[in-house]
Amino acid sequence: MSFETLSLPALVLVSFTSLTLLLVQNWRASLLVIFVQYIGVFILVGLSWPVPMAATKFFAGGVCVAVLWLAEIELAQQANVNGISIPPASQPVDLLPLSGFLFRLFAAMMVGLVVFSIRSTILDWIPELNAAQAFSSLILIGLGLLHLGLTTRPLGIVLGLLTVLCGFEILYAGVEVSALVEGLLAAANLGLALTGAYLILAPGMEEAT
Amino acid sequence: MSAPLLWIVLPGVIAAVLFGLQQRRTLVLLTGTTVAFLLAALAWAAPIAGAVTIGNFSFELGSTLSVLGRRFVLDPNDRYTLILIYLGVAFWFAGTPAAHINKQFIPLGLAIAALLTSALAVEPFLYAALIIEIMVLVSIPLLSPLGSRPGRGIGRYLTFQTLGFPCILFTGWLMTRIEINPAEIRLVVFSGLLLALGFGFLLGIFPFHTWIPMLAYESHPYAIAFMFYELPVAISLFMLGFMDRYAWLRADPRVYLLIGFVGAMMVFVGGLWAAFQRHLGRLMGYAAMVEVGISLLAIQVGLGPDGSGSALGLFFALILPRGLCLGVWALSLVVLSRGIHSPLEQSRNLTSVELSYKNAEGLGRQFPVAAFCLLLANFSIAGLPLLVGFPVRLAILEGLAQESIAIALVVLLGYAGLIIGGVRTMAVLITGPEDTPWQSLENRLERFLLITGGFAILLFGLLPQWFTPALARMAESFTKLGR
Repeated sequence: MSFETLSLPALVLVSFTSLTLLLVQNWRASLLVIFVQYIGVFILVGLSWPVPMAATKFFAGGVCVAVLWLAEIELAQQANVNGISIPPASQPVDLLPLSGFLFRLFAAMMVGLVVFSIRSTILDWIPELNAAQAFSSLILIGLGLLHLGLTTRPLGIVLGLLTVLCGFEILYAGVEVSALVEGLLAAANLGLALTGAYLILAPGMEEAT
Repeated sequence: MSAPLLWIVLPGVIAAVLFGLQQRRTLVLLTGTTVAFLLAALAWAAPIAGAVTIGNFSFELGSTLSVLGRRFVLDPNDRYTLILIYLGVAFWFAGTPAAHINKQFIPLGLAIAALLTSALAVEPFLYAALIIEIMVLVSIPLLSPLGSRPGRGIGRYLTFQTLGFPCILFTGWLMTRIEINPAEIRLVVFSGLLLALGFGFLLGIFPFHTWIPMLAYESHPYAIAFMFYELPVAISLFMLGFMDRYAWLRADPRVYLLIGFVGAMMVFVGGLWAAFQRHLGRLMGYAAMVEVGISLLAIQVGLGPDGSGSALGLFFALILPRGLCLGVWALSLVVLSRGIHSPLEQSRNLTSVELSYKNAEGLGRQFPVAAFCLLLANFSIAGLPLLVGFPVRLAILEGLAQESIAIALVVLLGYAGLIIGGVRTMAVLITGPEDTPWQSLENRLERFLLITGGFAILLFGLLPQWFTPALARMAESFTKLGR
């Protein structure tokens, strides 16, 4: 199966999802968007790797999303059932103020411009990549870093890091094909999701004495 | 039987079992400490890649374990590193009964030791970056235990450590290309910058250091001190592995210049902030920054300005004093914090948050042993004579002064800052309300552990020949550096 024809739609998809992750604050929407992002990552990695290996990206991403989803549900239940207060840093905010929305949008556009200007350099250095892979990986890394700079919530941090890793994995897939490295990268992704879930839930949990 | 199975898989499995048994604190403590100590003893006694004979039973302890087409290799040169890793972990575990730390410390600590060993053993060695990332993720529950709200420091720690490993992995690929085509200057410059960025993230080099004092402020002192000890060792060994592997990197004098500059800057910046610090926990964080700096300087001095030096042992000789001092420092902070919210509230997690100078005024009068040991550890890391930190620092400063008086002076200024921080701490701990009586409120176990640690700081300071030759032999793990 060749993913060549799907590379451009995948580029559009990951650009859209990474931008949406930056602009959307609702946790359900964020997790759905990053799940969709993993479909794009799977297609872009599939350009360089055999499909079964590339599929691990999608499955690992799906598990990450599931872990974070369950953590957020558990957090909401903790708050409702036990009356435990959610720390301000973890409280979900659904809507950004207009100024914040515009700021993030313009910042994302600037990242896009930077990526557009350096994509040919990356293609020079890594001829194994095609243009869609180079562009999408840089977009994901750039917008992921921007996301990290604008959030202090555990979920936001983990989503930002997962986005950066998605970008890196597309880039790295072009230069390295190894089952062990794929396994370790999947473990790092899952570990990040578990860590995120832990940080989301830890304040409401008591260590048994 | 293979060595990686014994020193990586076995402790990993035991860590998982102990994690399940964490409610039985005494059992976990005894098992964890004994296993760590036995693994260190085995590393001392058992010949890797040789035959082991126990009575009539004999088997070969192979050096290689294959996993998914890649290998984990521990060869005889790694023996001293294994001893250091597991002896260090046993030392930290032994202090936990007095540290009032969460139950996961020993299982996760053992897992971290197993991961550190696997980072040392994995081939291609580049994958160590991923293993270090997993080690960081495992450490999160130690630094932000159940029931505590994650602070900003833990977020930054996670972010910077996670951003570091893609840089390193990608640099590894770039370096392979440079080896094929060394004339491609742009690639050399880019990979050098990416490598510096990666290690900058991982080691907390300025300006990516902010998580160090933040975590020292918001985490349990013993847990963060443990990570201040383990993490730089893992990352520094990985960095040395890079230099050992790539000839062009090893032979480039600019690499040593950069390492020296960054090291001096870390010592100076850490020392400067320590001098103006008003919080006992953060002061330890800045001391950890100084330690990262002096480790880099030890590499630079040990290998010389062009990489031809053969004194890499200086770097390894720093590890034992660092572990000892950080352990004693952290335990002292735990004991002193009892004076602030006494009796220790079992229902909540202990952190350094309340250890400000204001709250700590006069605590030395109630906890004189802890106060004395804290100062001993502080001054030892600051390189005061007769203490364990002094001999190696003296050798490093001598080497630095021969290369550049200016850099040696900058480093001395950094250490002066750390000493000023220690003197201010001493004044705060002793000065208190006039009517506060002098007494010793430490319990018997705390007193025993602190006095033992303090005595070791003095003893090893007076007799450095007891530990430096053995530690210096760890440099044998790197077959090309300094040869």
